[in-house]
Amino acid sequence: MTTVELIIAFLILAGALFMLIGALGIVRFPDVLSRMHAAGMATTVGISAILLGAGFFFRDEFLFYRMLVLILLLFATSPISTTALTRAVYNNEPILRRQLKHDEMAVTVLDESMLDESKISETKVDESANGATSANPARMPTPT
Amino acid sequence: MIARNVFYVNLLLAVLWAALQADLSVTTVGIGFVFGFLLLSVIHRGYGAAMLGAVGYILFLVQAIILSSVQVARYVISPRLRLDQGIVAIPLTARTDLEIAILASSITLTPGTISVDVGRDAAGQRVLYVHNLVMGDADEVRKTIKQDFERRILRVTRGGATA
Repeated sequence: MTTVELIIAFLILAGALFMLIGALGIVRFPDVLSRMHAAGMATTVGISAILLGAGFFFRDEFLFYRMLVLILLLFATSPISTTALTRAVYNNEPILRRQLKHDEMAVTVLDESMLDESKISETKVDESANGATSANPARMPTPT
Repeated sequence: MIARNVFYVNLLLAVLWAALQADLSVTTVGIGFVFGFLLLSVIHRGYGAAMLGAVGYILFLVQAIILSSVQVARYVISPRLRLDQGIVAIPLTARTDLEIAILASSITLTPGTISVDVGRDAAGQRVLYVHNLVMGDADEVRKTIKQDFERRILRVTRGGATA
């Protein structure tokens, strides 16, 4: 086994190992937010290590550059979906939000949505009691 | 942002170099880029430092991704899960969309931290909300991200003018 083969084997095995650990993390971690970390790790480290190993393996200059471009595209696109998913989960799962030990986002951004979540029943009572005049359009619970 | 225009000139020089060679390949374009870079870094003040900063930032990012993915892997396979999740607000010195986008993407790429949202805190200061898998001390997280990530990015985009 030459050095190049050793490097290739190391890269592909390391990538596979990281993807395995990522899958294990998705099973073991308790909630969506923490699972997102495991999934993100599997894509960034696992796939790019395997792609790099494949690039060395085929001994083709253009294939190697293509792998580099693939890694670049992966690095440019995967965080966007991760961020979008995380934000969607955060905004729509009030129970999950309360499980966080430390949450500096709750104080500022989520004031309104927290109010909406906890006071949907109350606002409904308010509306029926005081009529439509008291209903604040910003606070109206949207029908889903 | 002048450095970006100089970068385009550098790309143009690389293509020109490759066009004057007998064969067109990625290697010739790369050599042309290096020569163009040497030329422009002599001509244009700050361009050399910005490009070296960019290369340094990429290397730093790769190193940070590898180190923290090993860290997250250890959290996954440790027999008892010791997670300590939390969201930290990081006050941003970065102003432009590009700077914030690069910073947020880098943070999300690094395992163990995910940037959730950009907003404003009570004082009207722009903040980036970062979710941490294992947080520890909030101020510690803030300091690490500001010094390691943001400072390096700003050094590239603003030519080292900011602290």
